[in-house]
Amino acid sequence: MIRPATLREAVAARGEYRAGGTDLLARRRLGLHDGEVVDLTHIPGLAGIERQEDGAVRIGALTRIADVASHPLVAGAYPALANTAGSLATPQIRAVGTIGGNLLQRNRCPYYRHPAFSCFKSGGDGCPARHGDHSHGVIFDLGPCVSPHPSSIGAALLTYEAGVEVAGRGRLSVADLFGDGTDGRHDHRLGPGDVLVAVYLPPPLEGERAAYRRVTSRALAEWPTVEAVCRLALDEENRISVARVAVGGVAPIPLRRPEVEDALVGVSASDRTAIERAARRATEGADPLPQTSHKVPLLEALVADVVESAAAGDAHTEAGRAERGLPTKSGRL
Amino acid sequence: MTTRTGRRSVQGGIGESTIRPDGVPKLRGEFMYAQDMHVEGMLWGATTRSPHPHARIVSIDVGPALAIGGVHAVLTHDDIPGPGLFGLEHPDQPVLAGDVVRYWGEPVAIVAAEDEDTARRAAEAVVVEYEELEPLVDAEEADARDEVFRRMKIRRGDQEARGSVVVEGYYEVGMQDQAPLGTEAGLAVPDGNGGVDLYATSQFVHVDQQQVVEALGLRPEQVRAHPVGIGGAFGAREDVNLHIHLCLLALYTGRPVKMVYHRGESFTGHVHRHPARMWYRHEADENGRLVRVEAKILVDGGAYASTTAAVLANACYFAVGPYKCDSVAVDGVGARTNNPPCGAMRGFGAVQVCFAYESQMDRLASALGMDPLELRRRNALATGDRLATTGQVIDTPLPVVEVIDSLAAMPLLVDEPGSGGDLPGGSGLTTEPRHVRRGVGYALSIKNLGFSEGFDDYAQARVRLSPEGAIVETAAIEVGQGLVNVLAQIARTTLGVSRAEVRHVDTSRIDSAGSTSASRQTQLSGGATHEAARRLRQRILEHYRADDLDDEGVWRGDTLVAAWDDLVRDGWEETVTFRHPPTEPPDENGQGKMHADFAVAGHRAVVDVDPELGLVRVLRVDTAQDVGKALNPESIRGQIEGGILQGVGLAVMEELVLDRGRIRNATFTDYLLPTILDAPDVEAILIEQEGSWGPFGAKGVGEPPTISSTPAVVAAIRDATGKELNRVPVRPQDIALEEEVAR
Repeated sequence: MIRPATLREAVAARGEYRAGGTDLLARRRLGLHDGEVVDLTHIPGLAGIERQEDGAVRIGALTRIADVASHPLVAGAYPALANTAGSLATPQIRAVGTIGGNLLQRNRCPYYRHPAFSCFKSGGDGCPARHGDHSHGVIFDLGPCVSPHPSSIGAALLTYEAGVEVAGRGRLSVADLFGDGTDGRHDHRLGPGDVLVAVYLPPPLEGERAAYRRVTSRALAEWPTVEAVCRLALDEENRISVARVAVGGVAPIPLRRPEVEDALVGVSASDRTAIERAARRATEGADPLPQTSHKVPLLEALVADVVESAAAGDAHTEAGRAERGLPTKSGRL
Repeated sequence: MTTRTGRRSVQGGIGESTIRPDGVPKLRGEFMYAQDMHVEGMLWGATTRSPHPHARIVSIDVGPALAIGGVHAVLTHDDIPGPGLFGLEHPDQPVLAGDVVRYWGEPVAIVAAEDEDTARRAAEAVVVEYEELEPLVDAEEADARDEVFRRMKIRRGDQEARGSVVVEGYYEVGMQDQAPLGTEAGLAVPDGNGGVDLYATSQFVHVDQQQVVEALGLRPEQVRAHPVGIGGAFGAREDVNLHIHLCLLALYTGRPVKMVYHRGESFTGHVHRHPARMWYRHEADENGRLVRVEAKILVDGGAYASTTAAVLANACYFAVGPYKCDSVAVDGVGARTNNPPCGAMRGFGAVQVCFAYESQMDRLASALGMDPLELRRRNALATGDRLATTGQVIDTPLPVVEVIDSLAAMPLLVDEPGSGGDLPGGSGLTTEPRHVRRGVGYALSIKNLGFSEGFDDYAQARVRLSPEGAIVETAAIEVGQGLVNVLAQIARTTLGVSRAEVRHVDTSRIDSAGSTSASRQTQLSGGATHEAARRLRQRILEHYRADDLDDEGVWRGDTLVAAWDDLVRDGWEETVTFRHPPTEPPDENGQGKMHADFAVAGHRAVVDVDPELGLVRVLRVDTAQDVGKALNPESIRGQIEGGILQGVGLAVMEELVLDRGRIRNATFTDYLLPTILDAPDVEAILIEQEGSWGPFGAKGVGEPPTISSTPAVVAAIRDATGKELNRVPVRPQDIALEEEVAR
């Protein structure tokens, strides 16, 4: 293991960067790793959350997911990010995993992680899931790999139009970090020597509200079948003036849905019919695989839910949800 | 002379919820599981497995593995001294594959090395050249090609009988895994004289010992199998897996060898629940009485026999459920494929058919416009009736009507959707109360207790007296169910003493207790303990011409005629082999007395469903269960709650997914087990009736909770959604989309 003490040493080191290690250690046991482990945890300044002079918030790449979920700067101004961070994986993983690691983790496809199969991501030149079991697969078939991108936080950051700082490369938008999904071999566009340093969240809009929803079939500890994030601003007449919608579990990248955003602008926040109509555009361009057609209605229903929830301001505070008689996270893990 | 001051009642006897002796050590992390065993100088073993579901082995080169420093042995099929075959019912499975591998993950070579990492590296370094063969992975194709382990035919009554109301259905059950948290682990220690002591995860040490002896060509006295600490079993430990490998490596190296399967290896290293396809036709009269039931049941046994023949038979015998019907035709097929071998799992064939026949009963109730419980009450089987399939007259208590009435009378303890914070969809706050629909569903089940079809099913137990009190010696395996409690309770009550404990002994020191499976140990080993304690007490009292025995000693009236220490010094003990009433193999129409006893259970599930998102939250599963006599009510409730959770798992999430014979999800990330947050609330009514042959009338209780909880949950989801749902596990897409599994 290489233990760089500075960012410069880390950039020079060759191998796989380790932050929380929750994904890397599991892959190493399966033999799915790329050279030596380069442990980033001894480099000062990579963790922590702070407000910048320009009103933006900087989250260090090695900040624990649990800290992202609970930090007052995030929970107050970026509630969909806090909710996303607080809902993924398990309390144990959230206590160890980092925001940078969540963005840069490798794909969860069981074929990729299976010793009996080879695929684009494990160095082969096929996708066994495309011709095998792909019931967890994509409905936006953007590239040769049909497994959805695993980063929930990536979808949340898309709605906040966040950027990332990469040592030696400067700022990059989160959308650019993931690319367009056509590269079946990689889960992100960072290469050797590219060290993710921090995430930057632009200052929030006046009175903005947001929500996060995910579909899992058991109570917790499961990658989402479908997930959706929505962020809205409303005008004085309670009409949607700004909308940002991103979804996960349906494409090889976390996917922004501008079709829905455009359709939402001008819609009254209480017009459920119009919101549902806009939500149906979430699947525009979808090309489901034989075993993923169920995700089409799931995504439409979930996007409608998440937009309605954001419009009602439910997810802004737990107290707000409780006032409306909606379930809150208290009492849950 | 001691004078008796007053009789104390026995503490910790039957009917009490005594604290388990292994409970506190397990909670504190002090209990020694098989994974924790260690002896000085031991080596570590590892296994080279086939990456193909079907292939010819062209060559094996162990050289690269042997060249690794610290490697002591790399053994293949050619190194096995005996016949090299094993199998629970017949020995058809090679200890190490010879010419052909028949399933993905089949062991091909084993290694022993100084440490675990080296052993695993060496196992990976073995070079095996395969010539891939086409795998047979479809059970229907296997049936058509006559690749079968067993065919069953049941014909009973007038085959021309016809009813006025007919419902037909096709049903599927996916491949469930026992997924015990403790993986397979063991240690073999050579005795220096060509023999070996085996300490390994097991449900049945005598049959392990026998298979080691036969496979390796040893003499019975050369192999001793010892009970060890087990972290769950549920059927996965009835077959041997690493046992013969460990003995082979220990005898070859002359060193103790330890092996622990990692999680992925555990999923491939033990047998699974048989996936099943079932075609059903029920015919009833206009009053809802069953006139005729026809079924075809196809189970996939995988590559080797294991217990497929018995699982298939059970599925066929219980294909109608706990209902009366005098015209029955059942055809069963246990297919041989290149899928992973399937064998015992909690419920053993009764689980698969229960999902089908209870789905059919609900369809029939709907066709008749009748309440589903009323339909079941009208057809309920009772003591004195004949089992619909085999014609066996039921001569032990069978409280089917009592189960139905208890379920009907239980209050429906549920709040409005979402008021408790528990909505479908887990931690992501996915749905809202306005989207949720509630459903309620019922199901009943019946299963045999103990081994069947003429198997000589017995258990031996010994009761002796020690300074610490009475000792029950047994080779019966504790897998977590509470046998160490209940045998001691039986000994206390029967002897009349307050101090008794269970000690496990190896296969050389006692005869078989049989398997910890088929819900049988409380009845069988409990029966042996009860009879041994009864005879011991009687012999002591006769010897001293006394009238009572307690913790102090033997009493004649108020006079202590022999103190406990005197009894201990005289070495009083009694060994009993207990057999249940004899059973017989089926005739050519599947008729006969194949079963020794039966148990029934009923479940009522309440679910909340978001039909748009396909999400389910199982809120409650209430149950009434036939227990004969509740020897330890808290242990029974533990079995019930755990069994229901396993049934909920099969209903909504647990399935091993195969891809051309290869298990695609052999991890706890991808094989979803219910978490504690998925666990429904459970209210249980224990129905006690006298008349079974178990000790104090007790019946086995381990399997029934798993059997009908699955169809009850699915019935509740159907009630909420109106979907057909003819396959378990029910996945979100099955609810959110229109299509059903079509046949």
